[in-house]
Amino acid sequence: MNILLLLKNEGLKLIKKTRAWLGPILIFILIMVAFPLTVELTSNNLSDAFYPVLFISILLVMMLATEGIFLEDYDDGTLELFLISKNSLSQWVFLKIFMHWLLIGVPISLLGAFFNLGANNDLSSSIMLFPALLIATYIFLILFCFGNSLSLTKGSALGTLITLPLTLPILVILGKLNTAIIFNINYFEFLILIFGVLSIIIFAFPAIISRIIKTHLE
Amino acid sequence: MSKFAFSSISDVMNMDGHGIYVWIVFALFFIALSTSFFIFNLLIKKYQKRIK
Amino acid sequence: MLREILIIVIKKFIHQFASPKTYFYQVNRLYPWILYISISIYISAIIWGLFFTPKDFVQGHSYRIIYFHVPASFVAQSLYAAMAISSAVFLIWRVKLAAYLSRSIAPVGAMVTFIALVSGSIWGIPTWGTWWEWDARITSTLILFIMYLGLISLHNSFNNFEKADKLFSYLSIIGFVQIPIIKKSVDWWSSLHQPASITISDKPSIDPSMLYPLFMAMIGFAGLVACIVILSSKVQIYIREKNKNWIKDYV
Repeated sequence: MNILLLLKNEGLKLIKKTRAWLGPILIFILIMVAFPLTVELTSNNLSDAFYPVLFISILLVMMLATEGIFLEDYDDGTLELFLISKNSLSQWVFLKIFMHWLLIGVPISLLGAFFNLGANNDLSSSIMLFPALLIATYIFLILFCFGNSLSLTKGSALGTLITLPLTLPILVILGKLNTAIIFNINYFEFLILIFGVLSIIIFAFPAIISRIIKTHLE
Repeated sequence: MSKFAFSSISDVMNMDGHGIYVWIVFALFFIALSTSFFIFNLLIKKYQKRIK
Repeated sequence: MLREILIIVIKKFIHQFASPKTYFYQVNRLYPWILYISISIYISAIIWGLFFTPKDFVQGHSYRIIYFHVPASFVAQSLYAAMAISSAVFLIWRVKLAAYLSRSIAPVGAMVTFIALVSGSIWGIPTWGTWWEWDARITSTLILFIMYLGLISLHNSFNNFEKADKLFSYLSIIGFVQIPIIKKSVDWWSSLHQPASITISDKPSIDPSMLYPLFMAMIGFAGLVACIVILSSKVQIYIREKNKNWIKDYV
């Protein structure tokens, strides 16, 4: 089985489960639509609260998107198949996360940039926000996948609970990025910082996750 | 090395109004350390009994 | 040739000391020494720090909390490092004792981090005028506390100890990235928290008359916490090795 075939299979599997990919996106849209309703009409600092709400809702939506991500494969024996076949499990984990990012992370980043257009009325800040959101969604996906692999058979609540602290440094950097976008200073430095984080964990974590899954299967 | 920093016992307790914070922290550390020693000794006794 | 002999000797040493039985007996012998020495050091450091050091020019007498707060936060981070290292030892060499140790460090670490946080926020009231500030160092210490709790809850949710130990070790090693972030947070982000008074590379930014009792308090507190870790690891050994013959003989 080559990589493309694996990727196609994962994609088809994910697309078939409409709830798994459309659900998070719809919830994200609902949060972004509902949040202006809670702000008073007269106040004009909607844009102040916009970035924090955006980042936190992305975090929560990614948490939802990875809920029970390996559970079905564990139940139907796909994971055990990987253990005895020649295909590498870490490669499969990498492709699975990538497919989730492609189907959930990318649309959410696009929507985030779009909603930013509505809140701030500023195209350049949307263009600056978009790559940051792409990177942030990928990082969150990887970290929550790690948590879900730890608590594979024990429900995803425990997994997300224990990996949530790991995502907080990323949130801190995103918070700094927010001011960087508004005042247009040091933007690229923060972007490169989170890109560096991503470039480390994008290959390291699939390997770790595959080892953890093997521990579960022993 | 250095001399006693206070003039009287009430001065020690008061510490220019900051005494309450210092003594609360002192009490916190005392309680935390002693209870953890106590709890772990209790647990050791419990498991010893179970093995017996 | 020499290298092979050395490897054999080291392996023999590790395997001998790493058996829970040897550890248990050695620790029993050492425990009273560590306990009494560190208690005496800690008490004398506290008395020296609380009563015999001069008043701080800016903070007044409230700076005396440093003799509690700094050792606690130092030990809280070091315990995490120790836990991560012993987890790595467990994963690499499959030493069972290392897994027991890392599991036994977690509750002690949570306790120490908690008192570091509380003492820090009490110290914040007179000096900063607020007991909590969402700045980098305080938040990351809170994250450390949550990490400890998460590790404990992860370990407790599995009945199979071997699986639980492995997962615990993976998470604690990954969580180790928090430690440099906490250490450097006061330098990277401008914050209310003062920069570290004592660093390895620079001269300490604190007067010697206040520094010596602080060092003593750190050593004494670390010793006391080591005693608690020893007790906690004994509890773990009792739980895990309850069916072994040696422990039945011992009891």
